[in-house]
Amino acid sequence: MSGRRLATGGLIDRARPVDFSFDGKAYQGFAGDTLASALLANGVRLFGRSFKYHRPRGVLSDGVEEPNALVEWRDGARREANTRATVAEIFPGLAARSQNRFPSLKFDLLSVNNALAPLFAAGFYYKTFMWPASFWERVYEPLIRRAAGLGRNAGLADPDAYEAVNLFCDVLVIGGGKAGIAEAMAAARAGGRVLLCDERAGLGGQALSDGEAVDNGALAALPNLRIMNRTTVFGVYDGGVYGAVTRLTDHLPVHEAAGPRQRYCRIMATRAVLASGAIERPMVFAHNDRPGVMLAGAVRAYIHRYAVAPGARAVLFLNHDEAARTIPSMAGAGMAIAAVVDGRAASGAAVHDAAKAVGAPVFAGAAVTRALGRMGVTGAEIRGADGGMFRVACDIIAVSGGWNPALHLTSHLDGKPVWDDKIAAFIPGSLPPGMVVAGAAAGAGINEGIIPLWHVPSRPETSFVDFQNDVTVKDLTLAQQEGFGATEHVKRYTTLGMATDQGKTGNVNALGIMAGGCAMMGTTRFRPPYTPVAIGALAGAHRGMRFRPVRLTPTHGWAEAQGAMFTDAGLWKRAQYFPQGGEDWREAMVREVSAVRQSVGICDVTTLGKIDIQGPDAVAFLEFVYANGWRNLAVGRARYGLMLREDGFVMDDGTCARLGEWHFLMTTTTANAARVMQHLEFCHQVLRSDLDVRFASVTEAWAQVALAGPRARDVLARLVDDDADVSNEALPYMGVRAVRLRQGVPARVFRLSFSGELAYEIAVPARFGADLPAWLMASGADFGITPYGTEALGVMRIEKGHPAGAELNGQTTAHDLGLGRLLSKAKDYVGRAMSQRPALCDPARPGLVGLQPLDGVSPLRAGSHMLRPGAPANAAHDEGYVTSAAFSPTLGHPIALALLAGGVARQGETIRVYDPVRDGDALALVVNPVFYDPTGSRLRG
Amino acid sequence: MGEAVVALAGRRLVSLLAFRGCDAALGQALGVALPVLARVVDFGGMRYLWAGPGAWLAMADDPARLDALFAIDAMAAVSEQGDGRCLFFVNGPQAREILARLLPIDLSESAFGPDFVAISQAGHVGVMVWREGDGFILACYRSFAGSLHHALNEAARAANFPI
Repeated sequence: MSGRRLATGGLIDRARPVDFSFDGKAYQGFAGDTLASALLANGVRLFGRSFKYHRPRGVLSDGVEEPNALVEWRDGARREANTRATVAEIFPGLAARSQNRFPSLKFDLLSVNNALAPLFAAGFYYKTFMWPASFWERVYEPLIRRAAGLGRNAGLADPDAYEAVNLFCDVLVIGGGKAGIAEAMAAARAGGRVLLCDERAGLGGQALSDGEAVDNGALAALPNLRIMNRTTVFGVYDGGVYGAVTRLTDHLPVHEAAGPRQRYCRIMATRAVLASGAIERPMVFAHNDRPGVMLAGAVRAYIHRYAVAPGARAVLFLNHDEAARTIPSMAGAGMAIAAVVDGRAASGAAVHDAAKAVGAPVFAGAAVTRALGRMGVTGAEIRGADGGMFRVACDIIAVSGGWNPALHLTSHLDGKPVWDDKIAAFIPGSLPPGMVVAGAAAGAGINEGIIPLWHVPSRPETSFVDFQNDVTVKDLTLAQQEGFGATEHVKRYTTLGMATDQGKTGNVNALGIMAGGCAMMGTTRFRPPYTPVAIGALAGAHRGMRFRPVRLTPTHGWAEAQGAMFTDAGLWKRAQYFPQGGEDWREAMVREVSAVRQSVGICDVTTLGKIDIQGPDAVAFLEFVYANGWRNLAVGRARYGLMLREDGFVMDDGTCARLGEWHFLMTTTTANAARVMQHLEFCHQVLRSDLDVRFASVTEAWAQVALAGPRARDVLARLVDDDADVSNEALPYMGVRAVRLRQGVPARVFRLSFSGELAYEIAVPARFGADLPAWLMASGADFGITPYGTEALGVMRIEKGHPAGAELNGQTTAHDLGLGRLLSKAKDYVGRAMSQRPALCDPARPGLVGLQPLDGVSPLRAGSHMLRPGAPANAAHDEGYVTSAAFSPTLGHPIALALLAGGVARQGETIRVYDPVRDGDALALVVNPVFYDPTGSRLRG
Repeated sequence: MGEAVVALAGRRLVSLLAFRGCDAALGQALGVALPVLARVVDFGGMRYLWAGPGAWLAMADDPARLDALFAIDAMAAVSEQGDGRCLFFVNGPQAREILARLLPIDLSESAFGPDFVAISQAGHVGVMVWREGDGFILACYRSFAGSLHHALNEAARAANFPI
């Protein structure tokens, strides 16, 4: 076989053997091994099958750029697809699997795609699956997804924990190679907080791969320097913000992994030094994707980092001097060097000297034209300088076409890399604010004596440029022929540079091929993340029930104790109904409504927005933001208020109470509380900064409970101090009073009604909120006082024809809602001018009506559309839709509110309520939207 | 050592929103230069936290002293806010390590001095942050208290695995 472990050397810990499995077979490596190094040490060469053609693939690199050796890591719910074997550290008990093969890696049925390769050329999807259109979703896409695709998703909830942290530093150094270490040292010695992030387990970078000693001992002595290993800085964002992820326990067996698996770091850095090094370019020739074709730098890394000789007999194919370092490394590892093939006509002295020292033949002006062997390299076909072809037996073809600075992060904020002819590489162009680049990432010390060799003309259909996406020279040529030669076009047309490696090894070769000796085009734009980031790391703790925060009312605990079921209202949890003895929601709702209509009930209304408005110009301000008038509202009185948007549509409604000459308390709907507050600030700061008024949100300062029903006053009288007069005369409808409860608690009582009954809203400082319902229940026990939830509340408001969320939907005007009479003609206000647009005043607009089924029983569902009886059931004959619907316990039949063309003028007509989605089709009578007590006698009594 | 995260119940807070042109007069009436930056000012047993342009939150060692603020309602909109907020005290040697997991602000001594105050977010919950004693106070709206408390406790647990 090929690879083997060397007897000595490497950075592995030979005292700690590690047992693991790959595709079910047991292997042993050492602590410090990656999966790639451990498998290579065991003679394994075949790691996976390619994306499109299912070609056998091995290991190309030793780092994050790896396009081939992608595996499924761990198993069960922790299985992670497309893990790069070249960076994933093994641990005892690890189970990894190859992917993209069926039924086995060595015998893969879908490799038939390889034979069909001519069919899968560039633009294949665009050309082939065009017709018939309906086939795309149902047939083609599922087929393609099954055949292509990389690893499998675990398909289970991620059992690991993740966390997010915010970090601040003066200097962020990205990359812990020699350049990064030097920069971090200098920055730390200059003072200030320095953060050094490196993606590997230890510092050293390429120097360790080259077998050099790296001394970073001095770093530990610097207290202001923090080193973060296994940390990838993956993105650059505005304002000096960098995204990074630390892999805390990915290298540990589950039972040893305490704490979060990964940590997402939001790093805010005044300055940053990018010292991310460089990524080596492969050579492009026929069958250059065979297992055994490996980057020269990776060959050195396996030898020096992991003490693994990746083969026994090597051919080295290069076009610059630096790759000659591979010669002594391979020789030192006991590998035979069959040939050094230099693409340059005149090979450099570095190459000659190194080869001579080990007795390896050098072929200058030559090229490897083809890798021989099917499941792995068995030899190289070489074209000599004279054009003569010959073959050399080998099991490794080490290739280096030069290095590309790993400059991705420099272009996240739109910086464009620029081409440097001298080193035949892109170097960073304009940089993100605060960033500098150091070392190989800046193009320093790489590609000495290089003469670019973008591809060896041989068989273009098997000369791979992008290994991960199976993009060949032929695909690129075809894209160019078909007019998709521009950088961004060629990416989309051929899939070049897509998927998890984002073209780290392939893109520059592709650009070189496309340029065909002319000026290089720019690169495609790099975007975050630099390497794949688990979604879990970005979500952190915000998942499941913690996806977003929850808001609880002060009465929540009390309602829970009563067995309430809760519903979401934005972030709020509100009691929806209080089931008793096995009631379902509807039975509970019917009981709760009946209790309120016949006796008395209570309901938490804390969630309504409350805005404390004070100032000498408070009245003028209300006049401006509300459509109706406020000048004559007396202290101690409240009024319904209608707020329009600038465009004349209704924004929100609520009540506003006058607590003092300068002092008002506005309420908003639950849903619009924050929006209204923002709107008020906007109106004040931008439109009417001349008005002297201030607002404070007091939503949360007060717990508020509605007390509703014919016995409400009796209950209230028992709740308040003896000297507090709550008679109809002292506290009339829309009256407001400050009182003291018998418990000595200060309270505000608002005589408001949403239910249509005699009703009050009682507000107490929120710390008493948990007690208030209990006090009310005790005060009304002999009246059968009943807690009710949002279901009953909603039904009663439909019975009363009050518009709510479904009607205040941003598309309705005051006229639509039957509130046109509120629009003041005596003042200016937000939305006045625009609300007078002819189309908004058109009487044919859909207006609020009530509906009741002709047969008295057919349910009317919200969302149903209305049609004239006999009219065709299509959009052209649509007359409007049902906004809210309920069964009315009070009336004993279904009722609904609807927005019907022509509105309330059509009372008495019969209309068809049509709901094809849920098989609803009934005739209904158009009625007054106020079903219950239309004169309002009950709430004024 | 006590708990790293402690809920403080019943702290009285009064909001002061100065009417137009009254910032200076308000300060004179209170006998203190009210902060115009995100800072805290202590004076005469009272503590004033900057809460926005022309806006402050007042608290006092003796909460009854806050009653006096309602007498200056010609210069400022005054309202009780204590019931509407929940305060959490995060303290101990790990306080900054805990808060780094929640707050996107730099709490180091050099960046967030003893008299600093910030309006920020912690675990998607809006908070005011200031220093007290050897720790930090996070104040959120009352309804969010459960969510913020949970987030703080999770962060305290995670802080056992230091950055």
